[in-house]
Amino acid sequence: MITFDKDEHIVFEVRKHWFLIASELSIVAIFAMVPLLVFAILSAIPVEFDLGGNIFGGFVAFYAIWLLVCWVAGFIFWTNYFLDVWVITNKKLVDVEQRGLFKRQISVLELDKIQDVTSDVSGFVATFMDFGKIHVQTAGAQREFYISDIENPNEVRQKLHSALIRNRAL
Amino acid sequence: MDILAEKTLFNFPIPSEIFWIMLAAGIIFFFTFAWIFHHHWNYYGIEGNSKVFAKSLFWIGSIFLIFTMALAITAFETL
Repeated sequence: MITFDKDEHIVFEVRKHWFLIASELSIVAIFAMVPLLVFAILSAIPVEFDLGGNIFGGFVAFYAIWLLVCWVAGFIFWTNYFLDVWVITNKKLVDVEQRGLFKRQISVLELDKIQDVTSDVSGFVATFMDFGKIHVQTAGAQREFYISDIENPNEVRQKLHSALIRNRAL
Repeated sequence: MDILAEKTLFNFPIPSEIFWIMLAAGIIFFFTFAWIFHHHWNYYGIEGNSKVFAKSLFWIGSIFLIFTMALAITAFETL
């Protein structure tokens, strides 16, 4: 749970590009279709199975549980995607790193500690899908902040820079 | 010789109890993850339409699959 001061408000939030979650969900969808493929192959070859019951009912029962596992896996990916976020308020930057369902790391950086913001788009897919990395350099010995694979990093850098200027003007 | 007319028969009877046990395991699996997602979505601050949409989709999809499995096992038993 992220808590904010009374006079603090969220300026914007940054998440990873939708292409990443779409890629992960596509892999889940391919896995979901594996039993259909096996069933189609077994139907095409001259083999008959006697399972002691309705074979189609047996297949649907097995496929339903397979789909349930894929369905839950899809929601695990979505939850990880949605909870991995940068929240920029008028006072600070909150970096929430969600790695799997049971690993969550939250770092907070005051905006006035930020020295430099860099955006980085590299690679063929990243250039055409417009996603990349934002790197924040902080003052002193504090750690560096970065978020990778975010949508439109140049625009995010500009918005973050504007938030810094507004914060310093106060 | 007609090759297609000859089908190899594999006799591999599966007791329907195995499917019912799989269904029970599926229900436990579903409720475990429903509880984990409920915690994460509420406590970690997913709000608004995203939460309502995800919650509804998860429950409707899962219950549909569990119900389908129960019907399919019944169909498997009735033959």
